[in-house]
Amino acid sequence: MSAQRPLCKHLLAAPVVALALLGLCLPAPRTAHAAEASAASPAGSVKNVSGEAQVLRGGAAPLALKHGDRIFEKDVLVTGKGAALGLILRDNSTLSLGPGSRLVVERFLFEPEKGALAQALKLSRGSMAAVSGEIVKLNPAVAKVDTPLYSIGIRGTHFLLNVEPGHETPEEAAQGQTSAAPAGEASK
Amino acid sequence: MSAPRKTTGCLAALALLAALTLLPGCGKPRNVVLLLPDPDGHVGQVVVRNQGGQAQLAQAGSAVRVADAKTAPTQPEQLTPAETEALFGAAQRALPEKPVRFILYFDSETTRLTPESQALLPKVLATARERNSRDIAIVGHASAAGDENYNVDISRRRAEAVRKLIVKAGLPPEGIEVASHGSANPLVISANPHEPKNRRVEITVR
Repeated sequence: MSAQRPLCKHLLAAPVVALALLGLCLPAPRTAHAAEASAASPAGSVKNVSGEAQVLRGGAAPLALKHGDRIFEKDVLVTGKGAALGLILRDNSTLSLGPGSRLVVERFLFEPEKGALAQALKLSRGSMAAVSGEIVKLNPAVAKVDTPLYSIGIRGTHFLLNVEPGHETPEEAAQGQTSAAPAGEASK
Repeated sequence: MSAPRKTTGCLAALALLAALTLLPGCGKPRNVVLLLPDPDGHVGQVVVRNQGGQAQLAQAGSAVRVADAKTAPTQPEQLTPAETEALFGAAQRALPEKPVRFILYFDSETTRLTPESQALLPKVLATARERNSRDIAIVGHASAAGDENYNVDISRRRAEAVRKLIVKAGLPPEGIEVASHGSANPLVISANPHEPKNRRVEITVR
């Protein structure tokens, strides 16, 4: 059984969702619960967007975010001038970004049944509001937000932080500057 | 010290400072961490640290500033409403409401909702519509009694039954995720392995 698990994990992750969508009612395989722990579990979802908010994911072209989109570990979220973005994470923490912000979901792990918890965010510029959720309730030591100037440890619950632009790396600074796109690139 | 060139420099610096004071925050660093009360009124705690040192925020409405990575955070202070709005207004207004959780119970050994839980469904649907939710988690849980494989299986079938009910009632299926945790996530810690409160499906409407 344990030898089969990694394979099942892999094979089941997508079909489980697909089956659910089709409304099929097959008897659940016994190893199905292993599939939920797969690395592809979302960290959260987009609850609201105003203005231009994008995700940079695994080197792909920036993708405009909309209500309902899933957010994953390693995602880089950027908001444009005058934009804002609201998210709800899997541990039911809520967070939002103000205009001109860049946030990296460096690490997110929420499997309380295994005691596997982690929430590391990095705000390289801009503003963020947050109300922490289950992760901080269960183990505050694993929740932090880094910035280029300071880090914060969170024992709960409702906090805001701001980092002025200009402290990021040049690469980070270039990301999400959609309103100042290089000449020749049409901005919609 | 009183060299004219230095005086000119000082005057220029003063003029700049005067200009900055017209902005909210009065030229102080705008790298700020602010602690607010939770929606339920409770006040948490945040520790801000860097190479220069650390500061702790434990009072509602208190904030610290950070000039740079090597300078310790300032002592906690209260921000003016104008500066709070300038720094955080947009982010604060975009902060989503907390998700809402519902707990449903079933007749023993079945995927049939108890009458009380059946009666709760309209409220689940209304909440999902009100929030325009595109992210609903349905998680089945079992009590500790019995074989864990069976527990995982019945928890999943119950969660799946609930999903069918709410999709049939018209909620968009694409935002709904179904899972089973077996007995690993009890709602209450109980000496009774058959604890009925733990045999449940939790719906989280985000």
